[in-house]
Amino acid sequence: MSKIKLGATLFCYGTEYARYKYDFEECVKQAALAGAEGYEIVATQMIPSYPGVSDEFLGLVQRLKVQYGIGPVGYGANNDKGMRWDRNLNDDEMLADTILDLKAAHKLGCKVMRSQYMLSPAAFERLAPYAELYDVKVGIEIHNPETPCSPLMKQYLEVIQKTGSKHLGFVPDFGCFATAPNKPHWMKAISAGVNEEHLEMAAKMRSEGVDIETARERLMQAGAHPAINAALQGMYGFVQFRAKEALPGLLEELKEILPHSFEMHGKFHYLSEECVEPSIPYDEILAVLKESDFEGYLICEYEDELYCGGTEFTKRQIAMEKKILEM
Amino acid sequence: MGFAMRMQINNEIIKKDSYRDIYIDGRKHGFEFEVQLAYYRGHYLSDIELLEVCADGEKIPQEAVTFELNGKEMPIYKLNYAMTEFWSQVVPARIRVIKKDGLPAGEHELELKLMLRIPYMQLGPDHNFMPLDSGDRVRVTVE
Repeated sequence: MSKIKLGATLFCYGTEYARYKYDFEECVKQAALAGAEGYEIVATQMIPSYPGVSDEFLGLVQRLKVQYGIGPVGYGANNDKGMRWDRNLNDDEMLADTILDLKAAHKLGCKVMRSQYMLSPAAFERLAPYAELYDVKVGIEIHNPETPCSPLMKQYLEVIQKTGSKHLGFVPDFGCFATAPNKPHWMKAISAGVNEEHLEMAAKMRSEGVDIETARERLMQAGAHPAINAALQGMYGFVQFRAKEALPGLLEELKEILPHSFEMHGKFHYLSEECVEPSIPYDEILAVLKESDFEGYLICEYEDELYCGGTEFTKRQIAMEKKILEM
Repeated sequence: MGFAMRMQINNEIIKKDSYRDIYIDGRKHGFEFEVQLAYYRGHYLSDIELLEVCADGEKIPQEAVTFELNGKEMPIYKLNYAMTEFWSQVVPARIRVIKKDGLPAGEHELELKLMLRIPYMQLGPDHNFMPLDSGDRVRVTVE
C-alpha cells in the first residue's frame, strides 16, 4: 500500500521569483496555499548563500515552517560538470561538490536529494558512505529523454544493487512518460507564425522515427516557418514523446525501479481548467504509483515555458493529483 | 553562431534605471549599470564565456571593464578562474566601464554581450555545453 505525500518544488514559481514578484517567503506561502505538504528547493536557484546554507537562511526556512506549516523535504542539486572553462570536472571533483550539496541538504533537514546524471555512476557509488553519514537519500533524476530502464539509468541501477545502499536510488520525472507533443512549444510556434499542419507533420515524423535533420529538411521543403525549429528541437530533446503504445512498457520500467525511488517528480507543462496535462498521461502513471508500495513525496514541478508564472497551474496540478489519487 | 539557449524569464536583464555616470576626480570618465542573469538559476562566474560592452556600437576595451558582485570587483579575465564566486540569479551584478569623458548627454545604445555555459547540459562527450545567451541591448538617456 502506497503512502504518498504531495509536495511542490519552488521551481514552479521561478518566473515570479526572477521578476521579483515573489521573494522566497512568498514562494513558500504559495506552495502551502496550493496544498503542498512540503517543498523542494532547487539550491542554485533559491539558496542565497549557495553552495552553503547560511544560518540566516536556515532561520528564515524555520520561521516560514512555523508560519505556513511546510518546510523543505527535497533538495534539488545541480551537478555542474562544466563549471571550469578548460575541461570537465573529473569524478573526484564531482564527488567533492556533491558532498557539499549533501551538507547543505542535511542542514536544511531534507531527507532526499535529487541529483543529475552528470554525476557518473562511479562517482555515485563513492557517494554512498557520505550519504549514509548525513542520512540523506540521493536519487538520480530520470529525466526525458532517459527512461527508468534506459541504458544509462541501468548503469545507476547496477551501482544501487551492487552497493546495496539504502541511500542511493532514483527520482523519476514523469516528463519521461510523455506520449504527445509539448503543448507550450506547440502554442509558441503557432503564435510565432508556424502553420499547425507543419507542426503535425513534425510530430508525425518524430513518432515514425525520422531523424531530426531529415525532418528539418522536409519541413523546410514543405514551406514551414523557421520558427518551427524550437518546437522541433524540443521533440527530439528534453520534451520528446513516445507513441501511446509505448506507455505500458514504460510503466513496467517504472515498476522495476520503484523500490529504489525516493521521490517522484510530477512534471507538467500545461494544465487546462479541467486539470488535464496534454502530453503526460497522469491517470495511467498515478494508477501505477497508487498501487505500489511507494512511500514518499510526489513533488509537482511546473516548467514555465510560457513565462506566465506557476501560481495557478501549481494549484491545478495538486488538485489533479488529489483527484486521481482519491486523497 | 549556433543555437544558444535564451530564457526570457526576467523583466529586465540590464537594469535601465541603474545607469550612472562614473566620475574620476570630479570629471565624467565612464559609466556603470546593473545586470541580472537571464536564467532560472545562478551560475559560478567561471561559467561566463564572453562578456563585452559596446556603447553606440563601439566595443569598450576589455581592460576598461570590470564585473562586481557582492562587493568584489574583478577584471573580466579573472571570471574564468572565479569558480567559487556564485552569481545568484536574483542578485544583479554591476558592470563598470572606464571611458574618457564618458558618454555625452543624450540617448545612447548600450549593449552587453554575455554568453555562459549551462554547466549541467553537456552536448556530446567533450567539454561542450549548452550555450546561454544572457546578453541585452538597451537605450539609455544620459543627462
